[in-house]
Amino acid sequence: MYKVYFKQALHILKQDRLISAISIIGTALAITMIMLVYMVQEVKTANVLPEIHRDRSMYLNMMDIKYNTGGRWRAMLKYEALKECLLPLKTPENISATVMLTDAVVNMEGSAERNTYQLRQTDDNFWKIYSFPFTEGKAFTKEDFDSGIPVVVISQKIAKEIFKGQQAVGKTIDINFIPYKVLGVVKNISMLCRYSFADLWIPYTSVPSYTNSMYNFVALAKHKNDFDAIKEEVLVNQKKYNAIDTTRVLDLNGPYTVSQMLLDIYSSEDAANEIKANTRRNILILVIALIIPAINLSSFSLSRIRKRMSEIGVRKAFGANKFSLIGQVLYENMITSLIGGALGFILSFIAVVSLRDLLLSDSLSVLQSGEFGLSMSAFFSLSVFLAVFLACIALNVLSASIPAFRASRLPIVNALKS
Amino acid sequence: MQIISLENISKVYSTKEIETLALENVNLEVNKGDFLSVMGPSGCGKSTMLNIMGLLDIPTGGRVNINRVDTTNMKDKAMAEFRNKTLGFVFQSFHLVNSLNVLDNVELPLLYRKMSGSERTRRAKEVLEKVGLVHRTKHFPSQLSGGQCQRVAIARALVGNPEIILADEPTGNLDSKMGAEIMDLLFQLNNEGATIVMVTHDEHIAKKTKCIVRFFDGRRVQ
Ligand SMILES: Nc1ncnc2c1ncn2[C@@H]1O[C@H](COP(=O)(O)OP(=O)(O)OP(=O)(O)O)[C@@H](O)[C@H]1O
Ligand SMILES: [Mg+2]
Repeated sequence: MYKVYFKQALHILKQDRLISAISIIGTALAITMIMLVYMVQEVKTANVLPEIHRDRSMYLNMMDIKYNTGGRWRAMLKYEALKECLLPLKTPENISATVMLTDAVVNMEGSAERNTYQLRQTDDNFWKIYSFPFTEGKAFTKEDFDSGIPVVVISQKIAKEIFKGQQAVGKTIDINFIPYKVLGVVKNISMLCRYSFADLWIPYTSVPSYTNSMYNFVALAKHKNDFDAIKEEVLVNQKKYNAIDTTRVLDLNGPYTVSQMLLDIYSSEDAANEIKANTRRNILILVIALIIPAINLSSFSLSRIRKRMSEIGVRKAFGANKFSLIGQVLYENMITSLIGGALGFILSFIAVVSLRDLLLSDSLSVLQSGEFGLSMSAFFSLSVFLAVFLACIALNVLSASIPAFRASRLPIVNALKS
Repeated sequence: MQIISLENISKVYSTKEIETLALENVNLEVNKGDFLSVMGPSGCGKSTMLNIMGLLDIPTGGRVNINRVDTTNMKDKAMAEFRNKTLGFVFQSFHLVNSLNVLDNVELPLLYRKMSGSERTRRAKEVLEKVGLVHRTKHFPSQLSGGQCQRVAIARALVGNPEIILADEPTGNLDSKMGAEIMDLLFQLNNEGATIVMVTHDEHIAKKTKCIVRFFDGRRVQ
């Protein structure tokens, strides 16, 4: 029986090539689109080189200060708060602090040719929390950091532009008119790695005014389950800090996980609501992204069913009951959906492969080197694909079975006439 | 022996503007082995009567008994089974399924029975042989002439071995030569024991059948 249905379904697909193509491609594109939305989201939170421990990382870069006199400041994380409350943390496996990314004027020692690059001032732990692929030299050490010696790690991009292919390590460049010795060269980093990306990395202690800078703090938890314990320890330190000077109250906004950091949580009081609202928003987006193509597709399955009213009449006249008719329609739609789903799988995969490098790198050289990718599984979640695929089938089938059900209840004579 | 009886059948079609009384108090009995012609002017209710007889349409009033079974309150499933086992239809416009080839069209009624695929095919080929189309099994309806289509439709009506064949102007869309072929086939089937009720406009054809009933304006007049 199903063999005959299958044969007929294929015949109908072949007969109505345009409609079939549109509904198959429609299903495929709907799946691909959602996979891309998911992927763009995922690339911000998945473990990618050099941010290979995003799943265990927590960040903090905002704080509130309330003064007894009535003033209230919302500010970036200041050094004092960092030093008192965050750098002493014991729970995390590792911690690091980085000054907010700034522009720096850079030129080769003695050269008048100046360029502006993005500078990140950080510490030695930074190189342990993130995994940078070095092409030359090495990172700065704890000794370098503690002594505040002017050393720099540069990206391949700068190495190419300033040293034009010659060896960079050991040379000196001027950063904001201060000479820095090049210690190492790393591959270019995607801007999407917002906590590690830069063109130049120096120890923040090498800048005399570092205690006046704004910081971004990262804690690498030993395990995801430690997040709450880390938060707890931050609160304890904060309490101690607040006890020293009761004229003001510090309220650190965080630390938050990588995905929570994407939410722009403005104060620790809003955090819970923001996270909930965001979950709702994401679900809504997914539902809309699924329903719009489904509505479009349903008009195709509707028109396909309408064309077959007389067939439904014939089948009923010769002994089909409601269930067998609906079963047939569901089965046929399943075939279309399966073909569309298979195509969607291939398209999503192609999209993942081709967009992966685009999303992760910002220069052609990285694309060509090819070593900079990350495992496909970080992007392409089979379970998400399956969920979307099943939803597509469900919507497809629903859109066909409703008219089929109505047709099956129609007096046979009317069905035969149409 | 009585095989079909219509008791006080009436049928009203109501649309928004108008109510049409298509059948009014129709009583009719058909005996086993009959070949009955139904005649009357266009719009007098012949098709309506045949459809009600074949359980394709529901009367507004009255009762349809087939094989002495009252079909009035039958459920969808039972009704479907009844149509499948007892009745076979031949329509003026053939009503073949365009996306199925000849063999699959003929097998269609058997899909709704518990039967193996090979048995279905065997039976379908058997009736196709009877209507002289066994060499066309892989063709699609669009590749056949009108007469051939109607022969496929007759094969489909026969394949389930129904006791009753209902035909609504089976020769209406065919030229006289093809029409004659189809009629020969129906006479042969009747000789083999099938009960046939046929709507026709053709007085010559009707005269050859065992019995004629006439309708006028929704009523049986003879
Ligand atoms: N679905 C319907 N809705 C409304 N009126 C209908 C419907 N079907 C049939 N009628 C009306 O019922 C009456 C009988 O129609 P029917 O088709 O039975 O006539 P007929 O005798 O078969 O005519 P013909 O010889 O032209 O086929 C006609 O007046 C027709 O207009
Ligand atoms: Mg008629």
